[in-house]
Amino acid sequence: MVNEREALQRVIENVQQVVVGKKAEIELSLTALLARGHILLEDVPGVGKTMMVRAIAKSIGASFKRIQFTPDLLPSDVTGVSIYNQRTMEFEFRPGPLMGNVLLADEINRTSPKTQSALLEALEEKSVTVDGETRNLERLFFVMATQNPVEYGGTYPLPEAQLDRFLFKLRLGYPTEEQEIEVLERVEFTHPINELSSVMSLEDVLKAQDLVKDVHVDHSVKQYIVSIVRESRNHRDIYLGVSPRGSIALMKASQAYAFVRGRDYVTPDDVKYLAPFVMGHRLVLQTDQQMADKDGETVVRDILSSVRVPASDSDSAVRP
Amino acid sequence: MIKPEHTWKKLIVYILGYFLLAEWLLPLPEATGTGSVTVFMVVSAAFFIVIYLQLSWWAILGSVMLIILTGINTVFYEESLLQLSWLISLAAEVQTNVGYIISGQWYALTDMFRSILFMLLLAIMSYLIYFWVVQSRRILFFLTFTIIYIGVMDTFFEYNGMFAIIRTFVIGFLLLGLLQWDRIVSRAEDRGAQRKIFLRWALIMAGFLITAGGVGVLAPKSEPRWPDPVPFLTWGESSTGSSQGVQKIGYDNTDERLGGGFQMSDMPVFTASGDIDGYWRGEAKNVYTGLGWEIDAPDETASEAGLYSESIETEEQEVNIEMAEAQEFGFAFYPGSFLSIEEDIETSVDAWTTQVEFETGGEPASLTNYTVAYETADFPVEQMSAVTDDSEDPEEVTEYFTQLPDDLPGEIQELAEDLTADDDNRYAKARAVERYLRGPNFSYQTTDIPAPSEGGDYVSQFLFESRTGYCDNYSTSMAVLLRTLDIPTRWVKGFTEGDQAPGDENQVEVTNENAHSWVEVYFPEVGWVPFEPTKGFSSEFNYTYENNEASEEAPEIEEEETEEEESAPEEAAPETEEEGEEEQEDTSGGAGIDWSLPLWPFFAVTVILLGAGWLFRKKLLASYLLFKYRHMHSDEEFQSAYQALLRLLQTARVKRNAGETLREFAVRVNDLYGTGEMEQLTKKYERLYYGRKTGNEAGSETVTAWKRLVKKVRS
Repeated sequence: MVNEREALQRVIENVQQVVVGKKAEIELSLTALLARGHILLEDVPGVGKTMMVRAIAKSIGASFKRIQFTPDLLPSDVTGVSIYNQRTMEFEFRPGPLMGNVLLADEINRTSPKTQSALLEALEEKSVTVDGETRNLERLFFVMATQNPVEYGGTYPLPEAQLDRFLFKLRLGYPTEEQEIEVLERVEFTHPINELSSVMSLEDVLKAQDLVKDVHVDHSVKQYIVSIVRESRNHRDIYLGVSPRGSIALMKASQAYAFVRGRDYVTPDDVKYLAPFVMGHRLVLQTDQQMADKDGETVVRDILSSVRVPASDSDSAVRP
Repeated sequence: MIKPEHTWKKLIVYILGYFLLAEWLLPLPEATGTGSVTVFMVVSAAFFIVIYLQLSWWAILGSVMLIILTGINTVFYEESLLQLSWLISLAAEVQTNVGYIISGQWYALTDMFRSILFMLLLAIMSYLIYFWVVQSRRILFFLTFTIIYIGVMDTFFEYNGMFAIIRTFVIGFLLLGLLQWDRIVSRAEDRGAQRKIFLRWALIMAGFLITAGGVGVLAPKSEPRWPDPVPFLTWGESSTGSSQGVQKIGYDNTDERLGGGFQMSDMPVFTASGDIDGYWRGEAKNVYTGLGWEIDAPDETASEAGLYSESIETEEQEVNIEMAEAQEFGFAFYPGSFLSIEEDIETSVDAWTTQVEFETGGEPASLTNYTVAYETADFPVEQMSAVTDDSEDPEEVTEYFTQLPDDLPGEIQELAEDLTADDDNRYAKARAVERYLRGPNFSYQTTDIPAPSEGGDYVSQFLFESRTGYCDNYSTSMAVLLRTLDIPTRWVKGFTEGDQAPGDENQVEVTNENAHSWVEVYFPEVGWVPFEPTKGFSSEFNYTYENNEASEEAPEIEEEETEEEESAPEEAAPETEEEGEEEQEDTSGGAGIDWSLPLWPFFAVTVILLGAGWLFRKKLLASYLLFKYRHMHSDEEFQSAYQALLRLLQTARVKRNAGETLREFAVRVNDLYGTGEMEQLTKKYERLYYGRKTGNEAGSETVTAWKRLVKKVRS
């Protein structure tokens, strides 16, 4: 366990060589990776989304694939397709990009709903069915989908039901002035991504994924998670609250995050920190709130400021 | 003030709070003779309503003023509220009393002003209860004090607190239950859960009340572990008891029939300034008739009272006496032994009664202002102890001061002989009798005192039947007991020292309440030596020992008594007696027959204590926690210590907000106190509380960090 932790720290350092000043996002990405979840990055192009994913893939020695989603992309372009081999007189399966370890699904909202759902179903099922044959995906399978919030023309926004297949929705945001100068200096001669080497084996990552399940979640913390989620169902700004799947996601994410932070138990701080990323995209706000350009994260932070954090036995009314 | 939502539940709880406060008012009439308790009850009810209405502060202030004015008008004025004249007199009254307050003469405050202050206090209490009940939803503190208060009232006063305790129990527990329910429900999620909680709460509440109440009522009760202290602490005795036959008010000229109750009256008799030393003497009497005292002695006069023999040390002093209005006496009051009077008036001192009569041209006269020269003496104990028989008494002393009625019950002499069986000299015998009378067999009381019927005996009735009484009973008994041993005694009446006069520190005021009587015993070569047999009174007579350093003050009577009592253990408990005497001294001494302590200072002190406890709760709690967790070893102890620390911080107004995690809170606390301890402790606590709760040692750094932080919060 100690080894895996150290390796994770090395991965973070490694990725930081490529991505400047995004430690929190890198940690969150690794958290999602360890929680066997996927990430939806919503940001303008060119802030380093691809670099981050590639750096993570390279650091853990995983295969990296990328799909650029376009309106004319077909489901088979994602999952792979069986082609008739005239020499062998048989259909031969050509695996699509889904059959790798780390996948960058760029501008996922530009493709047709049909293709989108092919991808998202694969995320949930961990397998794809092509020509009646079910094929399992790789054991380590991590998708980072991006979405451009600016150019909405010709896009197919992901339906709410599919959004919650992603564990986190993150934003990278622009770097600060110093960070941007740092970026320029780093890429002046060679791009650092080319010099990146693997610092953690795929096996270790898989092992870490198993260890995450052992991270202790105290009853009071579960209580806290449930209180937050339930509050989202009663909040006046929210039209549709977070589902129990959201509660599970929040707990698993918290476990993985605690693991990344080197703890074997979850604290309410973990939950509180992750809740906006986990819950923000699982809510449907009231129409007036949408009009007011309020987003899910803001509302979740509002909820967090009012839900009492359990700190002693007297705080939680129900205790076994 | 955050306006809480008012619900019917809150209203009920608040009304119950009022009933608790009412329990504080109910004992007042019995304990202090405070009248008009109904008015106070109504006034506090009005306060409660005003505060409940959540008016703006000026409206509350106005209403409180109006309520107080109405209350005062109802109690003290017959005029209607709308007439202005009473307001003017009220203003004058307030002005006078404010003057008293500024000059520190608390005892001079008038009843009306006390009532105003008391009503203000009630207003504050109403607000406090509102705060406790409606806002912080806690009442245990107040309930505990209410129960203690009723206990004290029941123990020390004529108040029967039995039903008050039952009422308080029911009200209090209902209150506690309702508040607890309120707290639980506020945490419940939805209506269904609330209903479930209500059912469970109601069942538990009812079950508890019935069981606890039933057990309390039905269970056998043991007798009190110690005797009721009331006989020893006689303050607060009701002064309006029934009179049986004779009734006495203040200084009386005739004492032929003693007994019956004593009517308290604080009417001033005179004020004195100058050297004030000891009791004020009016006259002495020598013939005991079985019912009272008379004088039967030759009509001899002298120029001085001549109480003391020439051979003992005396000190000459002077005092000026100004009689109060309507107080006319044809004779002088003086401390010690009379020497001369400054005024240009003839005086004749009766050689036997020591009464100093005024005369002009042979006719009796009276003076309103006079200055008396007198002497006080130090009584040498060794010399007095040397007197073993009556061989050296002058003949006329034996003749006039050892007389007893022929039909005196023999049991008196038997008792006297029993008491003095171990004593061989006159002084020791006198002391033995004095000690017996001051002992626990007798209690001081001014009401319900029987008077002997024709043919009965006053002393015998007191010594063997009633065993309760006031100074006349005690002094007469001592004089008679000693006379049965052929020791010459006489009965002296006058006043105790008196109290400091209102408005002048150098004056004492003597009122009818100060009327008193005591005993003098004759010692050859010494003279007439005073003794104080009355329980609860401390005399300032100077008994001296030759061995003592010449300049040293002689020990006071109490001290000596305790010493002697140690050598005679069968003679009751000295503590109780001393206690009584201390109490006595507290009220600036020497109230003639009874003195009653007004209750409102007592009430005020309780409230001040409550308030102080509330004010210093942070320091108190911190010190308590430091004490409680002084040895912290296991993780469990650390956990509860950490939780206690959270509560302490809450008391120090550093409260963890809703939605604030411990870590965030710890950062805030650290910033506030400029330390790192809170984060250190929080990390440890988080590991224990959210982690797998595996136990190990608390660790000495953790313990020191905790202690350091608690100390920081305390300061």
